[in-house]
Amino acid sequence: MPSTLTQSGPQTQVPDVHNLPLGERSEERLSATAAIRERVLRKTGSGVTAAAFQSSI
Amino acid sequence: MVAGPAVLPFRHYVLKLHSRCDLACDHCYVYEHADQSWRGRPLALSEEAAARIADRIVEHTVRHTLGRITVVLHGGEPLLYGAERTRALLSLFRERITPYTKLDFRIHTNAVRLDRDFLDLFAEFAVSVGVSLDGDRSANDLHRRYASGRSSHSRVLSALSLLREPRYRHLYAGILCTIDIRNDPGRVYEALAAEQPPRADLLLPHATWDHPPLRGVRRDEHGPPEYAAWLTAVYDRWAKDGRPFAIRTFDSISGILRGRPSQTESLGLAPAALVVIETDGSLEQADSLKTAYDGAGATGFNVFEHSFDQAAAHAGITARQGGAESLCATCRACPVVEICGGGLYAHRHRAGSGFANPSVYCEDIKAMIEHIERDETRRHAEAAIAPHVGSLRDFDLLASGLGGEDEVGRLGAPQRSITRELVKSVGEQVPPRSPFAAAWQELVRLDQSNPAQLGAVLADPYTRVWAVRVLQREHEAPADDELTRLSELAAATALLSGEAVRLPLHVVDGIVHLPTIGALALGGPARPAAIETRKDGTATITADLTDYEICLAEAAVRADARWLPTRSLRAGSWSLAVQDTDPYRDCHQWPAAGRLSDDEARHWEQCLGEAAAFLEESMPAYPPGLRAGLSTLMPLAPPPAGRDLSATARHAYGAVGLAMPGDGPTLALLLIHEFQHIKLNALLDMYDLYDTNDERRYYAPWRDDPRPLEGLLQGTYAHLAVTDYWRVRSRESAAAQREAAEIQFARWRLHTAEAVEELLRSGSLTALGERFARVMGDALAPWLDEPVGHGAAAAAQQAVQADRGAWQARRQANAG
Ligand code: SF4
Repeated sequence: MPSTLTQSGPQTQVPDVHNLPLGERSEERLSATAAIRERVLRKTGSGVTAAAFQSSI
Repeated sequence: MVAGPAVLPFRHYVLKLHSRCDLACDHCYVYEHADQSWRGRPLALSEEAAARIADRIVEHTVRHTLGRITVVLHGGEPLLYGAERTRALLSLFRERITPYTKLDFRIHTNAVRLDRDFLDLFAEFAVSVGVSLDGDRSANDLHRRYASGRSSHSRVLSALSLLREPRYRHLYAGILCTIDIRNDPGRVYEALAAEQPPRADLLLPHATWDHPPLRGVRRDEHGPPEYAAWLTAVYDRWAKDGRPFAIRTFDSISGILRGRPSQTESLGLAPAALVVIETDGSLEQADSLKTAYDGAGATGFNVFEHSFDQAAAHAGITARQGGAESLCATCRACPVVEICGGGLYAHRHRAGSGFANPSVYCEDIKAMIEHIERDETRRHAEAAIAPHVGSLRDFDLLASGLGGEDEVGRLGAPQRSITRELVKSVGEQVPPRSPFAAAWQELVRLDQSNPAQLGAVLADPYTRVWAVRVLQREHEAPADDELTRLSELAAATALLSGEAVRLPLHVVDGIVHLPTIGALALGGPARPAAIETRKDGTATITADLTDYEICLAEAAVRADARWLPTRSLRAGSWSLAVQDTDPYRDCHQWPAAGRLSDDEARHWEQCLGEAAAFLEESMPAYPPGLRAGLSTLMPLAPPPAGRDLSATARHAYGAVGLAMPGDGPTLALLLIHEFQHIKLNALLDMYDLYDTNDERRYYAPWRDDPRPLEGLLQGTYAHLAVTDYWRVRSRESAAAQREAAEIQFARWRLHTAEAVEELLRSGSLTALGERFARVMGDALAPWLDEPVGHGAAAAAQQAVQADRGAWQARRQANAG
């Protein structure tokens, strides 16, 4: 499991795209965009509510 | 102190409305498996039972101060309960439960009866809808048929198309698909994707060691076992398609691989917090247990005689909440146990050893996890864009309540990444035929030709607010009145860069807003307009056949009734932009004020000058950070006399909302208080400091109501600066005010220290979060020893005790 504490300092959860072209559409860029979207739009606690569905079918 | 006793409370209540089903699916655990308890149950939940359940939920919720619970309407087939009775039940629950907690409704249905009447009802009560569908017609027909043998497929598809209509789309929770390895995984995937679900669950058919799942179909001798082969085939298709919708099992595995909590009960070790309530009011464990043996789910409790606390303490339920220690030896020693969690509880059963076995799908789960892990590692190695790297030194300095120009300055880069990618996400959602497709193309071009100017424009705090608002409505294409922001961003950049562009606009709230430059107030309804910028730094906005000219060189100085330039407040080396026109600014806790008059702007500037002078003189550690990170003042509408109002907004980095305070030192207090939230919001974007799944409420000494963990963390950090402020004031004030300041200092240092303790006791901080709390505690520690006058110390102690006593009394009253 990746550790948050590395020697150079803590890794953040934000891909560093601030110097990459806005229009780039490589696979890695799309996943960076998706990662940021997910992090920023994530609703608190949304993970657990799913349990009811999985276990009740 | 954490509210509530030690049992793990239930947050999910699966409510059996009707004990029969109109389909006769042969894989259904309710009717076709070992447990035959349904035969003795009433057909439908009675009104009396429903009322009792609501009261029991309230009792449990209050006792455990749960901030949010979910009630899942289930069956049999819950729609057989009928629209009228369902309405009565939803109203009753809403009425009784919502005064105490946030209540989410869900329904899980076969959808064959799902029509507009039901959907209108669900829209009224915000009931999100999960639908069972096993794939394409032949896949679905394999099991999901009426008792007569007739296919249910076409009825389910028409119900799903209703759910996709814009008015119901927000209710569409997803599809539940039970796997049958005889079905082609690619075709099942395509059938699910065609229904555009927000998410899908792929469910392993219920089985135990005594009733093992179907095997021997499509088995490749050298390949993975059947269910792993089937699931990984879907995974590969889905990953290749760019993961167009969420598939819970896969997202869950990826998430846990990245250290996030599990999303499903059958994966990972997150404790189950769910209870099933049968139509006769009896309380049962997860339904899936019905596959194990007759009566396996029973607890012997019912809502008429027992509380949910009693059920939560039931051995069968606590056994499933014990994490890794409660698993069998094989699972405990398993390298993927953190991800698998031993599989779904029911799937572990074997006569004789009970549930102390690995899952009957063990080999499949292992192979699937390994496949996903390999794939993610490969993609990570090949593809990953490195994340921003922070520094522990910066982190510690910020956690101590401070942070200078460099440390705060470095918070900006991740913020720039975030805003860029959110804008990019919106840009890439513009429908190709929209007139605003050109605006997105312009932005992409300007980013290449004039990156510094675009960077300056994107630094405006409310652009992220706009993007979040658009993106949060996941399934609706953005409208013109939202997309106009892309044009406004491009036009503002072009103006600053001396570039010629021509772009469409849409007048929103009577305004065309050019971020960081100013706004043209046109009034009137929403309508199209256009802008043309020229190389000489001038522009023409055309609306209603009238041209309005803007000259950048004069834009800041030539205000008139229509052109409202973005003002800057200056005080020495301080400069704050005033945001009083952006249609997206009104996102702080209190309403925004309108455009400031020139007099008001002058008054603000004077007040800011006094605040800056106070801070430079008396609290010199704060101004460098403030200058680096506080960019924007958003005036709030004036509060009732005698109150000070200030607020930050989660997505508006660098902006503080403020109502005009009485004097400079008060403004200084509000600024340093709010700036703490700004710094912490940026850190929370960067790091996981606490477990977002912790929904407990905590005592926050400065609030009457218990707060969620993030609220407690935010408040503690803010009050660290507040304590420092009163500490300084208690030394400086004239004798008459000294004692009042001393009382404040003595009171806030006790409150803040108590809050740090509460955070550390929560058990829900990550390693970094704990470090943050400890550093806050260390910063506070020396202040706790500073002498204050005798009277002040006693008065502060009294105030602290009174605050806590009042809170405890309220808690007991609620629990009683
Ligand atoms: S069920 Fe199998 S894969 Fe899962 S934890 Fe147990 S041994 Fe590991």
